Amino acid sequence: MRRLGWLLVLWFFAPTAVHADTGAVPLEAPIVIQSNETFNGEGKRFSSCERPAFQLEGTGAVLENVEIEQCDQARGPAVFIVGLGHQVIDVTIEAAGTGIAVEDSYGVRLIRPNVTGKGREDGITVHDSGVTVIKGAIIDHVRDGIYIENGTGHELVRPLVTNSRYGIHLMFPTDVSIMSPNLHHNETGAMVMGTERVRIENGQIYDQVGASGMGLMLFEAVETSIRANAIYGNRVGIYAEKSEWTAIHDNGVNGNDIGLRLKRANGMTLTGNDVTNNRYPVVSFEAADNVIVGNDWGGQTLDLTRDGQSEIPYRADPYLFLLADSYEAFELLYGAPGLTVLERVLRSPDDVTLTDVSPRATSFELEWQGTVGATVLSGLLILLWRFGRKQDDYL
Amino acid sequence: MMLWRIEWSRTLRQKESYVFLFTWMVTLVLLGGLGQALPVATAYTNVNATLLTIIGLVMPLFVMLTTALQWGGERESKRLRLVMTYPLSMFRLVWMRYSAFLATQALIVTLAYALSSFFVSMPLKTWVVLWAYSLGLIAYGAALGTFVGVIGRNRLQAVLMSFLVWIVLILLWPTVLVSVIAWMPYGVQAEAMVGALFLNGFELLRVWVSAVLAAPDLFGAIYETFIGWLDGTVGTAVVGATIVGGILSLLGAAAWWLRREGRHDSA
Repeated sequence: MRRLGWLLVLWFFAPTAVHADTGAVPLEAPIVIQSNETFNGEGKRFSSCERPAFQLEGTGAVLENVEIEQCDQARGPAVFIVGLGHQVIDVTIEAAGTGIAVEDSYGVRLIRPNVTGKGREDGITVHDSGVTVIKGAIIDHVRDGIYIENGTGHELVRPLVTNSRYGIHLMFPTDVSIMSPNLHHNETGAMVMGTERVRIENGQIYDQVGASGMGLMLFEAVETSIRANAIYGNRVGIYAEKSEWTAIHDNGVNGNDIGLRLKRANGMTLTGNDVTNNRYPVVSFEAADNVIVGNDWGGQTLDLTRDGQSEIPYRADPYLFLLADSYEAFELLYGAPGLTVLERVLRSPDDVTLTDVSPRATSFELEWQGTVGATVLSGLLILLWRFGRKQDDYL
Repeated sequence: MMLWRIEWSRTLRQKESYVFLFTWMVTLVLLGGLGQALPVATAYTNVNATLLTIIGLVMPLFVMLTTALQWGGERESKRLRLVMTYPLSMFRLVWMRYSAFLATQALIVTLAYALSSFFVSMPLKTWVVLWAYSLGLIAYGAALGTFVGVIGRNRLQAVLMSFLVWIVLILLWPTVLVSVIAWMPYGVQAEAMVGALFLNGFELLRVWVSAVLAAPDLFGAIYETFIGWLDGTVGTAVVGATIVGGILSLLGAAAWWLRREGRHDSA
């Protein structure tokens, strides 16, 4: 009986399956995939060091279903792509260098790439290429999640970038669309610089960290469209400098220290944004010729005509920020009650203030939020007051 | 203890107490109802930031005026002279009045917060910190009001002086700092701003409560270390000690003034 018991115990703790050795295949030279060839790794793992593990050349090469790990001293890309119409599908990379590098290419499609880095190099880089499609990328702990330099017509769909310097970094490309990005816990969610006609839509851009902590940063970006994004929990929600004809529509910019920071941003259109619940809704300097209407700033509103628009304009005075620009020490005065007086006394001229001529009227809502704790506390305090009054006054 | 209870019941029966309760409730409900905190927002939003600013603006004025008015009234009605004949030390007398007033105001404010929470949704931590901020303002404001009220010859003088103190410490404080610190060398400006905090308890409390509720970088990178420290146990203890020290100094000064006057009267 005891023997049977031991057998049962042994059977219970016995391994249910015997795994084969799944070690990585070391590569001394890159596996080159030429025109119209397909390499299906069937989940195999490859390791590379000095040189890329895979190189796609020519036209229409396909790489799919592989795992790549780079050795610690690697600096180059794990996958290098040059040419036309290549596809990389379901590739997982543990990168010490760059994950995937696309250069001088056209119509490359990266589907569900997964790059985990060491914070030194970029996740995916696209140089001098056109119409690159990156769908469902998951990138963590790299320098820039997706870095695009020059080129045109790129499309990024549902990229998820975390714990990096810039989630998405665009340098001088044109006609880029970024749909449903999820960028969080980076130093800056997306850095858009020297671009034309970039669209960022339906994104979740939140909780960026560090001294900059910006959700979106536009610098010398022309005709950028930012629509229907949720941008929250950053130090600055959207920062735009020297950027013209930017359209910021229907975004929720909430819970940031500063919702919008605009510096020499001209010809902008800001409509239908919810900019409530930020420490400061908007800071604007030297921004002119902007169309700003129908946003919800969380300020004082009065809707006499019942059209949902307030008859009281919203006016953002940059007085303190202009002061703090010259004397950083005065930042400690943010929120000081006396500052409201100082702002009235030293009112900035209209050409440097941002004014929403008819902001969205804030609806005053009173909802019952009662709790048992608050009821008990109130009751006890009322009783204390009642009995406290009862003492006779002898004086 | 008997005298304290008499004071306590007297202040609870005053009409001003009910006016205060109503005022705070309306303020909290109006500001809170204008924008309920969003689930995505941090604890420090423009709702409670506005509350902070409004509370920091209005509460010191109300408290200082009321306290100064009470002491001025005592002096004007010659009641103070009668009370000074009691076998009590001046500090004890001042402390008794002050603590009774403080207890009443604490009760009123706590009740106002509790009742407002039926209509305004904020995280518990935010409520608690705002409540602590209000109590700090009341304690410091009442001590200042006591000192000013004791110095004032009559009610009008006491009210005018407390109003002047409020204008300097609340309304004009940023203007004073901007005017003075802008002339200092750039390298010591931030240190001077921090030092100036400890000269004005109202400002110190405001920055402390912001440090507790907001991210350490709220006041920019230059103050990040200081704000982080202020949010910690040591920083909070230092703020508390500074406020308590200031209050005791002001009450001590008021008691000293009364003793001095008593000597003059007996002479």
